[in-house]
Amino acid sequence: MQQLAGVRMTDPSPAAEVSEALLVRQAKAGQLSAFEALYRHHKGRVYALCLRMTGSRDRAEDCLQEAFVQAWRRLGSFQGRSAFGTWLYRIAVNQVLSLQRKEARQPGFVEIVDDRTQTPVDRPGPRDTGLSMDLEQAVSSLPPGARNVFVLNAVHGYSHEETARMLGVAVGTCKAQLHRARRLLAERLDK
Amino acid sequence: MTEQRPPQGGNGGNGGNDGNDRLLEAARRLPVEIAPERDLWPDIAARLEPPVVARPAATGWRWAGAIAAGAALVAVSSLMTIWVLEREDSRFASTTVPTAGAPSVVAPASFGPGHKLGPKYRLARNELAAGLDARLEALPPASRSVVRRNLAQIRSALNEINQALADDPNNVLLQQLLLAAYQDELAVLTEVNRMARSLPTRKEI
Repeated sequence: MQQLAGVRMTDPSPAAEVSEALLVRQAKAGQLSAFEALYRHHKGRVYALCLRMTGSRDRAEDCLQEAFVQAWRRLGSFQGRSAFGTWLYRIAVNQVLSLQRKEARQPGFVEIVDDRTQTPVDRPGPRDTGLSMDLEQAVSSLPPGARNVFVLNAVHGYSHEETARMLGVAVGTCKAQLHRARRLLAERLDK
Repeated sequence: MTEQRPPQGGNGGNGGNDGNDRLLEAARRLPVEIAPERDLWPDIAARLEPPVVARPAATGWRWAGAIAAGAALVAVSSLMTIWVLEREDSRFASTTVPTAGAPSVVAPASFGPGHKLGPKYRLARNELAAGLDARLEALPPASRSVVRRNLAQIRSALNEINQALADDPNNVLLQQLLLAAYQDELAVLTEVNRMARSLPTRKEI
């Protein structure tokens, strides 16, 4: 069997490791428990992406759920050419973009920012600095285009090329949006 | 969890003063994983249907596809669960199923501490495994190849999950995975047996 990066199943027990390739294969064969294990391994990262890109806990939960449902439906088309996580995060980003497009088409839509998003959650102690708190809030206040690029590139570490591909924009646009995001963030954090 | 952050892409053209550097540094320090406040799995699971399995072309021998589909479509029925698995209250009981025929056909089976494979399951497995190689030889080469590949994958999965269970015997997810893998194996063995019986004999031809 091809040994890929081990999946540490932290929920319910941190001790057991099964390769992700095995879980994906079993999930493709219809085993829900294998897909649940994949969910438990990737939910944190998917949720973080969705939460920062949407700026709303409720919408992040919706996007996460939709992403995993879509992933399950499309598992048959997953060829394993990229890591499962990479494939899954792209689906999640697409869900967020789809939601943002839907909201943009509804001019009467009132954006209700969930107060709870103003308080970053489950932050490990040492990272829970004032700057991080402020930064999370400032990022959530960015316009969607700049926010998406900043979250994917600056926070989650995707290259400009990867970010542009995931967002369906040109690399130049991606760089311009990042510049805009940094300028806006600098202004807001200086206040 | 220790998810690796991908290498940072170039931020060319964005200037590089101290404020911006601090900003980017702070952004990189933000956690890449945030746990949802509630468990979203039940809502997701309620929306999942069985995955669509692509149907093979219906030309010539269709057994290869049938076997692959048989291995893929696993119904996790409670009846099967009870049949395969029997709870043992007190101590570890790992059962080894005696091999019948070629060593490639039957591998040792165990179900971690606290459980043992049920006698009905072991009996069925032994019966199906006995003479499996002979039945396989009767199948067309393509079907035989698919069966062997499926069985090898399933047994590799069984080994891997059993090893993980040895470290974490009470992991419910692992137990479910192992149970499903045993069911997969039995489904393949059953399908081979059924197909071999349905082969036309020389007299019938």
